Amino acid sequence: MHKEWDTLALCDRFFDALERGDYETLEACYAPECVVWHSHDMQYQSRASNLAMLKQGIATHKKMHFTDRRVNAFEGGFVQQHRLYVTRANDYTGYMDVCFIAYIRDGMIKRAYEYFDTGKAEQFTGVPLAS
Amino acid sequence: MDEHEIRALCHRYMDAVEQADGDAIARLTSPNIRHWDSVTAEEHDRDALLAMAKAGAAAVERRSYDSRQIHVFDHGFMAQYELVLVGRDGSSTSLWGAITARCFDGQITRIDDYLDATKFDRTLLFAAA
Repeated sequence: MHKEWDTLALCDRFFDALERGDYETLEACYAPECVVWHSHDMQYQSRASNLAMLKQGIATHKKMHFTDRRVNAFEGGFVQQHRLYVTRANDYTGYMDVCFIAYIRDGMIKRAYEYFDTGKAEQFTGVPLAS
Repeated sequence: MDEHEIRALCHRYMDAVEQADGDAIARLTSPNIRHWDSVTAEEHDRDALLAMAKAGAAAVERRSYDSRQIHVFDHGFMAQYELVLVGRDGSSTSLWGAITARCFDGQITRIDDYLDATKFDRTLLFAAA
């Protein structure tokens, strides 16, 4: 079976950078052609748009922490399951269970898929869902 | 289990759930299997898993796991899929989900299933048994 240590290292580097707010390392993890798909809108987001979103998150959230990381490397990528805790500017701390799937080339993420349950948005953001 | 066996197990499991084949699901899963889903955020045992599969099938005309993208790793697999649900009234819904699974000795020992609860009528998948 595959022992993709470099793949696992990329995964750790990416999520550790998000936790630290290290935008430069984060940006370097994405291949130039990278696109990111999210289950809440089922749309592919461009590299630039996704990085801008992450940059804003780094700037506005007090803390981001990925817990219970369960990572598996496969041929051409990795899948990480985790619980993301975010402490927001108003000190609300919410969490979301996420499955993040990344396809890689040359040590960078070229395509990612993020699955989470939008139905848990209120517990994640602290903002009641619109009825 | 080698890569081919794990991949085949994934397909057989998804086929069994599609067909609500309780006997096949029971053969393909460990008696101690834990099934977690993002909608309920709870773990279920095999009896509950079998009941959900049966109830889910009863709630729709048919369902199918399409567009399967399966990747294998040590002792498990990850699958991205499109779950197509056709209701009794002929309406169709597609749900895009992902599962990860652990396998041992020809059976699945753990499944984590990620779906977006806002994208479907929960009773189509989680109808009371």
